[in-house]
Amino acid sequence: MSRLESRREFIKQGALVGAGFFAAPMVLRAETLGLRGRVGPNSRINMGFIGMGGMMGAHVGIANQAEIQPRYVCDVKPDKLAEASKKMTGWNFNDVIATPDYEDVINDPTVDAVVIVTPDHWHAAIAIAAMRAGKDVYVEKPMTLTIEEGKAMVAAEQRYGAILQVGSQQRSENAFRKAAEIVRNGWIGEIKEVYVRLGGFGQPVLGAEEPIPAGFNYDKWLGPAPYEPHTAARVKGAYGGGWRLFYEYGSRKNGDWGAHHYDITQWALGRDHSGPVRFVPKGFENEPYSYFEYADGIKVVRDHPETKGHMIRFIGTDGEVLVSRAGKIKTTPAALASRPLGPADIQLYRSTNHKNNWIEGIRTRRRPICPASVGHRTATICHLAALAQRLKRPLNWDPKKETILGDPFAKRWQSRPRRKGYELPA
Amino acid sequence: MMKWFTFSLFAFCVTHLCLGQNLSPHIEALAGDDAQARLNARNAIFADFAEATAPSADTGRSTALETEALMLVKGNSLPLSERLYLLRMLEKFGSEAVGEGVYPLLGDASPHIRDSARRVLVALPGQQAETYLVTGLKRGAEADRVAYIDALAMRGAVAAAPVVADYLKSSNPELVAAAAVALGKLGNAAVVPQLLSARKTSKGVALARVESALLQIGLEAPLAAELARDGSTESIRAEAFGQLIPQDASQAEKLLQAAVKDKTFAGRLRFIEKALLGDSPALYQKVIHFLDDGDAAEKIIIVTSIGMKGLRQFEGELLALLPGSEPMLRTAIIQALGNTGGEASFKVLFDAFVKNSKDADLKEALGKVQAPEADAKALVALEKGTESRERIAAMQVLELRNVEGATVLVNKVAGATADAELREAAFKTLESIGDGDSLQLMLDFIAQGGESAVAAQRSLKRLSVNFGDPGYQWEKFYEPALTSAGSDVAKGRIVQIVDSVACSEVVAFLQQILSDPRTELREAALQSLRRWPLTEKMEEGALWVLVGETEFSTEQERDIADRALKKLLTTKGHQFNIVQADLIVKIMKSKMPRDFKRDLLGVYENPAKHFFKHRRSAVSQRLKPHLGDPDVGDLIKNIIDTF
Repeated sequence: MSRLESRREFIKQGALVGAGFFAAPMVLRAETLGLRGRVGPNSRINMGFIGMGGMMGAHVGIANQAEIQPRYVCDVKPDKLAEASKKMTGWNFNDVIATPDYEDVINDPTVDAVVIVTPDHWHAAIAIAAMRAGKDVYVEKPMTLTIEEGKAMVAAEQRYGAILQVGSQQRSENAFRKAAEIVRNGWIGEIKEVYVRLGGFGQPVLGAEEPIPAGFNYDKWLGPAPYEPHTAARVKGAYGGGWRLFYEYGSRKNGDWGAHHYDITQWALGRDHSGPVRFVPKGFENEPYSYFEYADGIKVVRDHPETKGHMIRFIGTDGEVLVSRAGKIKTTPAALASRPLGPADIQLYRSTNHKNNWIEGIRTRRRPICPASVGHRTATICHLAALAQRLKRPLNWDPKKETILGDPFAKRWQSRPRRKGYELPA
Repeated sequence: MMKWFTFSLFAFCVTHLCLGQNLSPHIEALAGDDAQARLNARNAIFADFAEATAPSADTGRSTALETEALMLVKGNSLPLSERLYLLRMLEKFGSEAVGEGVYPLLGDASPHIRDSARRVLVALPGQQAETYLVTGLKRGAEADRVAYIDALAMRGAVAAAPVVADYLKSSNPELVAAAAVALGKLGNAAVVPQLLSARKTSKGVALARVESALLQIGLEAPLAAELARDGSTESIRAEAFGQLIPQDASQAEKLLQAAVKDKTFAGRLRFIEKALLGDSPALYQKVIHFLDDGDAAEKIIIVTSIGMKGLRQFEGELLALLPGSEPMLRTAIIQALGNTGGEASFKVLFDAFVKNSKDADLKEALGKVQAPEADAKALVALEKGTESRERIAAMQVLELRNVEGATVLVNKVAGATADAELREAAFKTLESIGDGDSLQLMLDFIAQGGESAVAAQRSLKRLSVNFGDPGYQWEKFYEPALTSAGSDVAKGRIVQIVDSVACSEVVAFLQQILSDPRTELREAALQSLRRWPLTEKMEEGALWVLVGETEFSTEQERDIADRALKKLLTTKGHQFNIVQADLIVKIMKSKMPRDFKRDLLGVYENPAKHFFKHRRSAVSQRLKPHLGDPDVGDLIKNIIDTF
């Protein structure tokens, strides 16, 4: 039986559980079965967790959901791997395999799905390889390191029929969906400007070369990125620094928070399959703020001081919407926030739990709320905004042809040549 | 080579002399141990290159920079990491001309330099860089070939496809697979014959990559049909089937028919998904017949695909499947009906909703189905119906679907009916779809008293919160209603719920009541104050201080004020810290008894934990002038000392 057949088989089993055909075992208390509330093992999604740093802490908990069977934890850093292994044992998953090589996970035909929470420069290669091997994928945001990687991921998602969810989870928060629906339905008139708050990072830390800790596969950590001597500061995973400070492995704040707020902006403006046409960096001809604009003149301004304490502010001709995490939404006129949608209104994809939306997709093959095609367009904005900032000049972008216009040197950055041994799969 | 070097040296010298800009000021920093200086030098070099290669820049400057960078890469003055950094600059900013100087580095002793040089050639423009890579591929070590093949694919070197195709004949399956992946990316149809030959000789992974490459280049119908039947993996068969559909629908139909019948056919469900995602009505019909025979899991997938594709013609089939369906399938059907359903779906979904109004999937689907007739019916039923139950159900529909004209009608019904049950149901509906007229209507009912006054109070609170803009509501509706209310009892019923329009104007209004020892509205005002919503302004703090210091407050009222103030002072969040400092000052300056004040200001066990670092200076600034306060100065000092 092929891997995919096995997954379809799983779907069948899952459906039976949902259908209540699992009556006999369900009569027994879960504790009696030693399953702590879980359903039978054959109906679970066999899952691999790749990249066990701090961010995985927000994801690995799904291992405890009834329908999930963790099979692997994977990290090139032995300390992280040991911690993850210990955590699994603590949760009574004693047969979870710990491996430093993601290939072990994706080459195992019993694995149905993988959660990829590595640094950004590894997202695309692992995700494509996993999809090619028949796995469904949850991949942290931003989806890619480069625009060309994004195109390859979209193609792979389509080719392999994978259910891929990008971790821009604000789409699964009610307040952000509500804000997007208000904007989409024109309730605040024509949108003129959007302000987003991203914040900033400090400079990367170079430092003198330091010995590579025993067992740490530093070459593999670097992967497709250029060779640099090892320093602890470079490979450290930290929300405020570490590898996130280096353009070699991400697009700094543009990718870090931009992958959330630009994503919501795209959604609200109905540009999930398109994008802006011009990116202008802060400081260019005395511009006080970085911004990008769409063909119809809508400007999205980064770190404008007038976000009124919110993460995103949409400004329309007839009102505005301010929205943040934890369900915070404020509208002018105020009644908009509670106005129900009618059947004639645009009603956006509704998901209230990002990971469960993915899991539901694995079972039903329903496209998740943030598939690769969406994640790619959002990541494209992150990369272009970062590039304009780095090159200190505006960039013109053709969202249809997906190419930088009139600047051949900038255009080179759409892709990054990869180190030998770390070629991008297809 | 010599020609390039001479030209470059000349260009470098000229530009150096004319523009005076080069990399030399940064060399010392790049070679040194000072990490910050090294970072600054790297940043400066990057900025120089970026500026020199801007569309409007003088090309002479970038030529000089790349020449110098290449010389530094080839020299020994810099450590390996910085030579590699300069190669990265050439990768990003180098011109076609620099390729000649980079090419020899493909044979460098350092593997890092060799690979970096290869990557520079991936990025450089012009035919020559491609030629260098082809040469590298042919002359390089076997172990490097995959990387060279990938380099050509990354460049989009379509013309090099035949060279790459030669490696399909390799005895090394890894190389065959890499060549096939590259050919798929390059998409040059000229190499299809070589790929077809390789398909006959390859196995396993290499065979799958060869077939994938054929699919990426694009298949004609016969080959698509062949791969759909015999492709080496399920996804290859499904993709080939997808390519076949628009080219030869009848052949696709036959294949689908066979796949549907044969439960052992690997990729059967993928075929079904592909058929539903395509644009062939004939294939849709084939799949729909399968709904009768498939098992629950297969039905879920088919139903989900129908919903995603929005195939409205299958509404009847979906509805037929709904009765008695298992929970997962039922959810999938309801979601699909939301996207595809019309009047018939509305009826079925609404009946189900009446039985279980908490079902979020039903509610969402009901709000989406296209059912203008049902909307019109609901409007008529509400306006002209005679049975309360029927009219209440109609209001539910109108609320769920936010039907145009519904608010006006519900307001009318609520105002005119003598049926209290119907009126209260109307109030409930208006909580989410009400407007200004609804606010007014409910305030009138509250002021009048009577059997619906409590229901009106409850619904008005919710409507006001949903409505937003409390200042506007106060000025336009609440304040006039209070002014025109006939008695203190009537006023009191409104005062009880003014917390639903919490704003500065209402604070001022409540302050008047709480300062007046003779008013009958005090109890109502305190009731409202106790339910005051938490906002960043914490405006109600001043009112609780007032209650605490007013002589005629009862002991019980003081206790309530004490608890409320402590809650405000200890609410966590940096956004509250400055307002909390202001509240502390207000408490200090108040006429509250000394012990009361000390009790309140001793509320922080560890002030440094409560007040966020970035707020402490502003908090200190507010508190310091009161260090000498005879009653609580020592407590203020305790707070500041922990910062």
